[in-house]
Amino acid sequence: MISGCVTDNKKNNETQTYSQNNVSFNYPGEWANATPTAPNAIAAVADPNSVQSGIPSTVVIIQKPNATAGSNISAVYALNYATFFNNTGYQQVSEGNITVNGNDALENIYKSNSTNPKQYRAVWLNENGTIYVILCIANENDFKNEQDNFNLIINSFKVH
Amino acid sequence: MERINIVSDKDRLLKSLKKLETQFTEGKVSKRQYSREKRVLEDKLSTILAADRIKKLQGKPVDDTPLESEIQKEKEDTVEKEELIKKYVTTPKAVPVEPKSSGMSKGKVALIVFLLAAFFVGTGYGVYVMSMPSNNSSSVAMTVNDSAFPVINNTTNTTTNKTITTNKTKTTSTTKKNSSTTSGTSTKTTNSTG
Repeated sequence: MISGCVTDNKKNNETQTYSQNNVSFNYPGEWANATPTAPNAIAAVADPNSVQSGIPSTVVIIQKPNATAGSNISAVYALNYATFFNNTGYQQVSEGNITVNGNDALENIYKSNSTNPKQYRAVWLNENGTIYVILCIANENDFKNEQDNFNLIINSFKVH
Repeated sequence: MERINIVSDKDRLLKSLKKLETQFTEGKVSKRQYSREKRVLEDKLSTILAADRIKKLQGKPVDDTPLESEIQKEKEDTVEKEELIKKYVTTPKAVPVEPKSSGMSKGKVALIVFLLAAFFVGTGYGVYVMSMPSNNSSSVAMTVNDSAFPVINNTTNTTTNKTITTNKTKTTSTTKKNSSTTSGTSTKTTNSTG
């Protein structure tokens, strides 16, 4: 008898906006806020549909390493990845310079060598002298399909 | 001659009287006029009848036409006609329209009202739910342990004290596709050891 049309506004390609900790970005409507455990993480969103064993596998984390404030982004980037792939269980896939909203950025794509391999896409941004790292993570099989969602977050990322 | 005149007068009077009766029945003459002319005609007829009775007493032949029986017969015909009209010619009576059963209509009205109420309640609830802000806190809490700066544990094999080093030099170049989101090209040179 209830003829009301109840729909979830998170579906049908709608996006949500995260706006906390002086940053904002848009993310897919079906995703939800997540709690990051990394000490320098300021935001995290994940796809609830990717939860496996209680842990989401499709995740985007925004990190602001305090130790890098005022530092040169290229130098910090190079230092971080100098030994990152040396017998660490991570394998680099690609890296390079990219442009995000007209600004130069650095990108490093790598994957883990575990039994359930994940692939990572780290985008390094310099916003007003402060370095932000947007880390996009997904299972290796899903990584390519999640690029649109990752790009939505990366391209809408703003520092207030 | 006189007898022929009397008979003819008598017939004429009878016809006139009959005609007067007809006119009165049809409403062409008023009652007053009818009464007056009828009296005149009946007087004349009574005179003629009186003459007939005298002749009869005298033994003379008389045209024994019963005047009154003719009139009476005419009246009876008229009455009979009126009775026949009353009996067989009737104006159709208006058939009263019975009101519909109030019980059935009340049930239908109640059902329609209930359906409308359910429709609007459901629609209103749906609009209310859609207008509610998304409540992320009610979703399942998700914890993320990943980091762009993980604690890296270099794996080395110390038990066998054997280190195998293979040098592989691989040069790959990747060209990123220009897209509306990110654009840029990158050239990568990777050295993998392990």
